[in-house]
Amino acid sequence: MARPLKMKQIWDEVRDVFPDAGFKEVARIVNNEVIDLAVRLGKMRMKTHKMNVISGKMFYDLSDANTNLGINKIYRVDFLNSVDKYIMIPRAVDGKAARIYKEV
Amino acid sequence: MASTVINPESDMAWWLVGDELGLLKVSATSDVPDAINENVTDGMIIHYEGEPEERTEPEEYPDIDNVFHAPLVEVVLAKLYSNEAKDSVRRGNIEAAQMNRALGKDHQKIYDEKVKRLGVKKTDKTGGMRAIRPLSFR
Repeated sequence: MARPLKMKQIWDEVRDVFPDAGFKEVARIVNNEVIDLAVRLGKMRMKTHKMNVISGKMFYDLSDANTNLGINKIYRVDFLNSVDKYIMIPRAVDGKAARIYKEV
Repeated sequence: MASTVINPESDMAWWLVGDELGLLKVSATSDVPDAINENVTDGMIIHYEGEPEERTEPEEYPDIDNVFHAPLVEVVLAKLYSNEAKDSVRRGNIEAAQMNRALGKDHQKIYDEKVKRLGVKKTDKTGGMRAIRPLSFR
């Protein structure tokens, strides 16, 4: 059982050796290293995000430059139905899903 | 606004084009996919794999499994010793620079070993043994 450490506890342990170390500097190193670890060990976080659907809009920008979500891979999308329940919707390989559904 | 889509599982679909998420509604009259023609507040939830959250408050925990929290102290010390070594070189104190560099390397080595040891272990909380259980007809 590993002991969880708060950012403050990490900072305190660092200050035992470097008494002048600032919290911002320590936090910056920790944040960078956590991202590096997650990428290296494949320990990305599973997250969810709610989005508004806009009439007539087909494409929703999810780039890192325009959102702060840091998305690496989307694996599921749920849509709100008429009784306020989120239902998983299928992923289309390309934009011609409409034809496939009609034939089925 | 609330949604009027009754069966999203058969009437809606999504796909990815570069950095954009495409959302289409199946049209009964056309083969060309159409955009939905209503505004829906919080109309969709995307489930995704993302980078860990940045922590800026002292009372927060780093956004990674707690087995890696203690090794993070080592890597912070390694980086700070490395910075000290650079400062010592700038000041012309080569002896101090060499000492700081050596200490930095020691902490980096401890960190790398801990990550190597802990990183290969299954630490996810969603684990557990899987078994196929046939349905009971009783």
